[in-house]
Amino acid sequence: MPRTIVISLALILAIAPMSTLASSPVEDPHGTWRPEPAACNQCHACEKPSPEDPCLVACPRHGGHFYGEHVVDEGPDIVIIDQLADLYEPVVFAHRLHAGMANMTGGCENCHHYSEESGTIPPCRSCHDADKQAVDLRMPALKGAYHRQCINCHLDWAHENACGFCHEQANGGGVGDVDTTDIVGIPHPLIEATDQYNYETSYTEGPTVSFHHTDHVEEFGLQCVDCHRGDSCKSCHDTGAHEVRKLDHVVTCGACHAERNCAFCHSVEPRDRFEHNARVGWSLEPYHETLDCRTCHGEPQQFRTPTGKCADCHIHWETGSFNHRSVGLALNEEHAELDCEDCHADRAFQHPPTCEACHDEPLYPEQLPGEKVSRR
Amino acid sequence: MNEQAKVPFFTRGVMTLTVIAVAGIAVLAARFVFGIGAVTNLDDQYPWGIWIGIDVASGVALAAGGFTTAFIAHILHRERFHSIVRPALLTAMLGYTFVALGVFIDLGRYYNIWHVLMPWYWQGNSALFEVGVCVLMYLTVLYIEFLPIVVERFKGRVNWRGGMARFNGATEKVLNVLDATLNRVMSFFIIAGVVLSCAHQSSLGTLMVIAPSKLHPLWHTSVLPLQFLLSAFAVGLAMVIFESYLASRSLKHPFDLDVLAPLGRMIPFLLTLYFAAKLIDMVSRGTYTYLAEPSLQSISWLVEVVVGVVVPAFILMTHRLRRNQTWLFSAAAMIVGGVALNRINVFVIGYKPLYAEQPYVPAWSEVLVTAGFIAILVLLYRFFVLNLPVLDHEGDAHHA
Amino acid sequence: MSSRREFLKFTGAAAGGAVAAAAGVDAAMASTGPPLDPDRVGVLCDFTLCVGCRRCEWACSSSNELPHGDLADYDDTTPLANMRRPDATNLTVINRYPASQGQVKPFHAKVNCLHCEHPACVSACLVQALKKDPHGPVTYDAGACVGCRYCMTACPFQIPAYEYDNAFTPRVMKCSLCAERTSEAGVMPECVKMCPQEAMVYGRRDQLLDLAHERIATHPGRYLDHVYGARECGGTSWLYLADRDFTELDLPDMPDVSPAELTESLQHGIFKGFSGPIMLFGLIAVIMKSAGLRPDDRLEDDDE
Repeated sequence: MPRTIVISLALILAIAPMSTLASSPVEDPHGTWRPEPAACNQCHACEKPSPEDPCLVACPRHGGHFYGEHVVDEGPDIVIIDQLADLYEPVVFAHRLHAGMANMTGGCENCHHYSEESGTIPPCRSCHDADKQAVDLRMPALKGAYHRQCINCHLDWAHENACGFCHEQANGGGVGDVDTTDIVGIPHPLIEATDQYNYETSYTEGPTVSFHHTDHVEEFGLQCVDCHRGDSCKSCHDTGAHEVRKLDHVVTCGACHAERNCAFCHSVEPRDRFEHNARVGWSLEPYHETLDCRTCHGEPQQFRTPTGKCADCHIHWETGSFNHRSVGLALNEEHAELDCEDCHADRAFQHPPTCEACHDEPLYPEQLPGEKVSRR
Repeated sequence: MNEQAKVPFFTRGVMTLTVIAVAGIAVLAARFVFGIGAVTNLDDQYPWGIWIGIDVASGVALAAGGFTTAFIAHILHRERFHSIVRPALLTAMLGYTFVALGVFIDLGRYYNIWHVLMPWYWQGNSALFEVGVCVLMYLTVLYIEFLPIVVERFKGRVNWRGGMARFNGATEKVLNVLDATLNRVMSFFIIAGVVLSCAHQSSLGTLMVIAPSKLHPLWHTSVLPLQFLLSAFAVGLAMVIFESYLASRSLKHPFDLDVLAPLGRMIPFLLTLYFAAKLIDMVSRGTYTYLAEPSLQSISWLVEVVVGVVVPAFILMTHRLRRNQTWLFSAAAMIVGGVALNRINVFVIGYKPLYAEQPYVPAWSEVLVTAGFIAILVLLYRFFVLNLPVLDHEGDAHHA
Repeated sequence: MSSRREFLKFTGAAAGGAVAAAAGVDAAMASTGPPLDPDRVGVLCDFTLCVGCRRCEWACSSSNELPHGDLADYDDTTPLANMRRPDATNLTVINRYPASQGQVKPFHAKVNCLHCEHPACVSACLVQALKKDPHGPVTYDAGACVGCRYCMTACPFQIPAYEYDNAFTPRVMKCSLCAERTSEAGVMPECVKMCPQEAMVYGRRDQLLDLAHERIATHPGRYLDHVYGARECGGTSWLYLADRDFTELDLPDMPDVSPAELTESLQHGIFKGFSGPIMLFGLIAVIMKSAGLRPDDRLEDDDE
């Protein structure tokens, strides 16, 4: 009898901890989120973090926890920041304006250093407590979080600590005093650029560099950030009398024109805008006009010169698949039945065929293999 | 009562001193009405100026004659020197009184000075607390030591006039009691005076040890208290010679070379100790390199040591020069000036605060107060020696 | 001879009394203050976050009832052109320094009392007007102060200022870490509360030290690997982070011990239990008793 009691007690003691294990499995502190296995140190300061001592680093900002693609228009037009209004009136923050500006540099992540996995961007106050006392020492409270976002950029170009730039000093009037309509929903205004810039340089062989800004954007299809890399607000908005920003032409122009010699850009007189026919003697009229340069020349870094053979590109041109009217000549019945190669020896379409190749007498220009029509 | 009484109190020199004293008092009045800032050039970088450097620090050093002569005459029983004990005692008493006054006027909240005596305010880590308490206690001791001179002057001669006449009997009784008791307890106060002096003379040096980054390395050392004590021994005796000479010239009183020359003979020994304490410290810390770069500090250090220590030591070691009263006086004056300069160096010239834009130079009004204090001190000294048995006193009331 | 016996009797009695009094003084001497709380507070001030907006100056002056202008007056950055020190009416000031490497924004540093762990000013004060609160702040009691300004001489950081132009009730002026307010739980010093950038963090000193080292580790390149105040002068309640050597920000290079250590060891070495003075007293008494009278003829005279 006592033996059974002892055995059963021992069994109970042995099973009890196992049953607790079974009933409450260890919860993954990361929840459903699956971080990169090698990236532990982005969030954890120590070697072996545990749920008891996660030793989290100060801020998820440095881990880059940002997901999803966002566009300027999806965010709010303006945000009234009034959680902290005390000495100053609430701040009317033109969110869309700033989103537009951010688009030119680092995107939403410039400010929103964190988003949920679903891509939802939480408001700052959901992590940064408005009450400075209640927070973890590592994380700035809401006031610090806001100011560090704004001031760091604003100081780059404003050079003064005018709190009044964002803040109206409190007068008890509240937001009602502020006409918010004049800024509602304005993204960053279009940047006006001159079509052509003629830079004077110290290169004596060719002191002038003509840069056709509009052509680079519209004709050559470059994005702003292709050249304006690493620019910040202060690049354009600097209020101080700082030196004129100097683009590093080797880095900026050379990114595309690395293969070129100096004379490609440098000339004695200002140059006209690039015109394909004038520069290389090959008109793009009318069909090639619409093409992107890259279609024929490849990426600028690996610029290639086409051979000039139509068939290099137009490999599918065959009888029946090519409407000869498109070159301004509607073939008559006799010629329409011929194979392309019958007239265009070696498919050298770039050279018009001569009548003498087939006919004994010179018929051209009295007689044509068809009828002239307008191209297109 | 003696021949000094025949010398008139007012002379041309006395009139000059009186003018300076009155001017000093006028500035002091301004200090108490408009504040310390109104009359001094002190600022947040230089909290202490010449009122501390000269009135207090130098004053304490130069008043060291009181305890050094008391030690020689009363504790070592060198009877020959009894005649200089009273003038030295008078100098010390007046000197310390003005040290206390100097501190008082420099205190922003002078009316709180009693806090130093209240145990619940005591802060024993403070060198200044120790200096303050010792100075106050020593001042009391000095007044007690001086009492027999007053008693001797008035005992049997009490003669209040007018309405006070009825107190004549009582006063006489008090004087008799004092005369009887003072003699018996005086030894305690003499020893206490020596102990207290050793304590606060050295602690005055400890004061600036707390500012290693501000006091010039030529002076900042942990043995600063020892240097202060040793220099006080030397300057105390030099001061006796210095003032005896001046008093003899001013009061047509004989200059007793037979007492003062032997006194001067002791000084080189003390100066050597002081010089050794400075030199060993300098070599061990390698601060002699600072002497190579010409600056106000290096020049001031050299003057302090060469003119204030080395040269007078050699003069006093030479028998022929020591027996010449002009040389004896000159050597004493150099020591007095040298030790005073040392105190000024430690508290003012060598003090280099971290962020000062320009060095401290005392305001004319500050100088006037210091000059006024010295003038009043000299006038009081003159008054006392003319009216009390100080100078012509052979032997002493106390014979242990 | 009777007088000598009486002298000894009196001297002995008086010396006894002195010993008793000395015990009291010695107790006062031993008062290095109560031990510091393990959870004492401090402020971590990250100079790399400071933008020099001077709001802390306004917050300090307005909360301490010192002369101060309108909040907007502090937009004026012209005072930053000159190197400033805290004074009797500005207990904290911002100074401007050249920009960091590769930056346009100038660098700023805040100056105020560092609230030493072992303050020289407290050690210097002869009437306990300055005290080290076990909870962190170094506080000042104008009612106890005698106005000697020894604290100003002693301070290794040259912080305390004085109301020289106040004739009757001048005060030593320095940051109190808002001790009178922060004793209430959850209340921060005014400057910390005001700072828009939260460049300052108020909290337990030991946690702030960890936080400071963590920031240095997390942002390599942003900080110099040195937390100023962790060890300087025996440690300070204020801790600073910067991108450059602190001497370039006018924070002096200081040893690891408080300057008060040396003077306190000197004071206690000499006056331990008041034994030094009492022994000296006894020694002199013995000399006085044993040294015989030296009549004039036996006096070694000046001639050789």
